Amino acid sequence: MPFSTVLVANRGEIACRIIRTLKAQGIASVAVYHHEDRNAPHVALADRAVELTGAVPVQAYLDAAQIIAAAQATGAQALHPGYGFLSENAGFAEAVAAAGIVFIGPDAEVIRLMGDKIRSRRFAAEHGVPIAPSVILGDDLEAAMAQARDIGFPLLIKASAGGGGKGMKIVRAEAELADSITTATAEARRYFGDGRVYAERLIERPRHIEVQVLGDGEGRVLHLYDRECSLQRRYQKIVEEAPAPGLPEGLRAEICAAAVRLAGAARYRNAGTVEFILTPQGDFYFLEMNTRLQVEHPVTELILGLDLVALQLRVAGGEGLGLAQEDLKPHGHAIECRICAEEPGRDFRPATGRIGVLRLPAGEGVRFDGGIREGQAVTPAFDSMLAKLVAFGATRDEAAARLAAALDQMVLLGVPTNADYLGRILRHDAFLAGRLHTGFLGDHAGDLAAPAPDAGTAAAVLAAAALAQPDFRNVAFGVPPLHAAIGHWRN
Amino acid sequence: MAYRFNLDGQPVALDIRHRVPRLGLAIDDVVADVTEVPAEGAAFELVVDGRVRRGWRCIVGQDIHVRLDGRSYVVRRTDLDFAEGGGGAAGNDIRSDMPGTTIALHVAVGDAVEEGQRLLTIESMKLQMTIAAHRAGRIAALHVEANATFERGAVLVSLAPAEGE
Repeated sequence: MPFSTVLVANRGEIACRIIRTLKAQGIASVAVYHHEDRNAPHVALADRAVELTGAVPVQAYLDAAQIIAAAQATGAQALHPGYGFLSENAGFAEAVAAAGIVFIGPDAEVIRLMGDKIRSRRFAAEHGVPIAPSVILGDDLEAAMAQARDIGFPLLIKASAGGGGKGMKIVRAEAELADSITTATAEARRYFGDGRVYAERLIERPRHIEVQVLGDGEGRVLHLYDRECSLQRRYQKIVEEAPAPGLPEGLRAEICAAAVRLAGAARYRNAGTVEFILTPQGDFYFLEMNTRLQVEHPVTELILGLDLVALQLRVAGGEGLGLAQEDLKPHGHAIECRICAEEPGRDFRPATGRIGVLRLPAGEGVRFDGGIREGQAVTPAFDSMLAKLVAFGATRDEAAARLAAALDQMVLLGVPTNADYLGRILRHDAFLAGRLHTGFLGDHAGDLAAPAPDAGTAAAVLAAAALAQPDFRNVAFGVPPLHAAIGHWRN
Repeated sequence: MAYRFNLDGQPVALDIRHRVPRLGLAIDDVVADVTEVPAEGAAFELVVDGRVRRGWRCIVGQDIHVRLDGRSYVVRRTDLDFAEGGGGAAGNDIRSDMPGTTIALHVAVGDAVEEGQRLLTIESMKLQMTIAAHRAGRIAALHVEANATFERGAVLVSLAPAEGE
């Protein structure tokens, strides 16, 4: 391994996860952090940590110049960007390389190509990867509305530079069109600094299937099989699994081959993910390529017995893939769920608080990828995802049962989370039957809502809450003089 | 006296009915017998109507978070509130349920608004949301400007009292 020191330009669970592999490989790790994160686990876990300044915490993690300076000051030969923040910023990848540091990811040019939805779709189409009917909307609102009408309703308006559902609108009828284009353009400009949007025919009840790829930058690309990420709320995934359940093997092979074709044509280097939507009729269309390690990469690791971060380091170090396609033999099933600070019963509203109690689950096949600790504040400064809980099983049913049991066992108190909601998903008949599509959570909202607790449980919860209040305890247990004289009634 | 709580948003009245031989808590007038068993740290153990209940709890801000039988609950004490509530809308004031930033104001002071009409767009944790009027009325005051940050529970908009109030 040519690297002795690697800087991790991220925070939270993904920074911790990357540092774990660095430790396993005997590579010194450097964390970066904003003052607000000074007691965060990724800082404690790393061999060294460099503070970044920023008016707001997110700004610090987006400050390319400070991060590169930190890498130089600590003698890091390579930099791992994780996901989010600067991971898909071509300018950052270039600046890192220009500073003589290896960016653990693809070339800036490939990031730029795949980061532009319009260019990447064209590129996919040129290389025989199917794309859904769509049109780029012009700047003039009237003209854009006419273009969108030609696609037909329902349709999706999406940011060209976007991702994660931001700047994305569903338009079901003419009446919503003008407002949706205007809002999507404004959000796109705000989030991505690029107001271009496009309209795409909305495919109802699609599945979201993606393929993990690994390329050597010279045209050799392996696929590490597929993942199913259809369960989404606010266009963001919350439950992911590998392999995609019930996919006909021929179709699986076709989708994986399309991903390899695309990544191969781009001479893709390092780990990436090609996302597709799959229609109920079995047609699939290219959605986008994420040029980084994905949040849900652990499910792929578990079914293949691989460490994707270790593979990323190997490729970045110029040691090639070290694997052939025939070496990759998936077995078993893995499911991940994202534990987020939010209230599923209130339209998944983000929640804030402080982690007062944290007891991690354990059990066969269970993996917890977190970057949280007791006492940590959960603020609106960062993404609401706190941790990922992943379970492996010989079968899908076993993985789901293990994951549900682990969620039950986990104690994460002090901020509302979706953990119990995730447990209800994993036990839902339609989930267990593999009847998945991106509208699943909406369709089953009634079944997935928290049932009212029975009277005995409600009484116990209220008693526990009331007895946590000093003034209530005083009234409940305070010993007034008369009673005290009667005897030791409290015992 | 009655203590008032919200259990996952549902209002519940709780009262101490007796303290001997065991604590008797009336929850919406149904009395449960409660004995507390000492437990370490954030853990608790209660015997409620003869059944042992072990769980975890912690207090964060106004909320008591309780974990029992694989499920988490948020309990909020409401009898100590001087305001109309910790979040949402009640009476004339519309509050924020979470800290955030205002992105856009869609109304001005003096505007007549319909129930459900959007008043503000706010952003919290990178998500944009709309704050809508909980009833028809006239805007009496806007307490925030565009791009202002606010804390959870802050009053964002006040409506003029409804006719006949």
